[in-house]
Amino acid sequence: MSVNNFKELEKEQIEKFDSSRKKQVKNNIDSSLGVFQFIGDIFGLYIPKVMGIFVRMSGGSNRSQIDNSEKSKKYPNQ
Amino acid sequence: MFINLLNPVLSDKRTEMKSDEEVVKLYLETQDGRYFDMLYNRYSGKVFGKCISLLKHEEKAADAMQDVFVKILLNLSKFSGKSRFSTWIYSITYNYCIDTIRKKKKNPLVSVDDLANAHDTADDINDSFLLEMNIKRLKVVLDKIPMKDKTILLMKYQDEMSIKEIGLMTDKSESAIKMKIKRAKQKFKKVYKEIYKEL
Repeated sequence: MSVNNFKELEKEQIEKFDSSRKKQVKNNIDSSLGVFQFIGDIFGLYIPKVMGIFVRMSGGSNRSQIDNSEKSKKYPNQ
Repeated sequence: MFINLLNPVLSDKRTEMKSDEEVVKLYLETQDGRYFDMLYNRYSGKVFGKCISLLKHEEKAADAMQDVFVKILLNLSKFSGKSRFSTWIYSITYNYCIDTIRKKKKNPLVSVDDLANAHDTADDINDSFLLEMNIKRLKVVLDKIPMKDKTILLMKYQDEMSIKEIGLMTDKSESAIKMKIKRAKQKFKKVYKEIYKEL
């Protein structure tokens, strides 16, 4: 087998990465992702409402209200 | 599927054997964090090794590694499968570390081309000169050569990327990559000579 001391050097560097550091970095990654997810959820929750407000302010009507009124016409007993 | 539900350990063992590309696909389909954990377990050591090799500081390397993994996770859907997953991860790592160093240094790094022009006529250097070098000396010389030369040598000899893969990752032609490797080796040899007065 041919010698490759670049690989040996890599092994030496990986050995410096102990399990406690591995866990710590993983926890940090999870918390960073948690923040991203939270921001994403906020946007997902409020952006449609804000858009709806803009639509109503500009004289349009909310699509869900139209759907409901059409439904009630079609199915009056529901 | 039914067997998997009955025996989650068996299911886990089967998943352990899956290739990186399969795990990525499963993660994107299910968004199950265990698949990302699997990729993290496979690559965290190597990514840390590369960060410490380039940044030369354990704490900074750990911070960089954290950012690299967040970047990987956020961009996982962009992994096209054109290259190996490991190649993709390493290129993100190298680019991140190079950017970090660049931001710190006010002076931009000297381009590989500029450095190499002065000694373009040197002979080709045998790979065994690099591969069989004493590890301590290898580390010292790698730390002394410019970042871009170091990166390309690590891609070629440590990550065993092909010329084609390096070209794909750096958006350069294969002949340009061959030239860059040649020049990086020449630079390596020159620095080695200066430090150890040998050759």
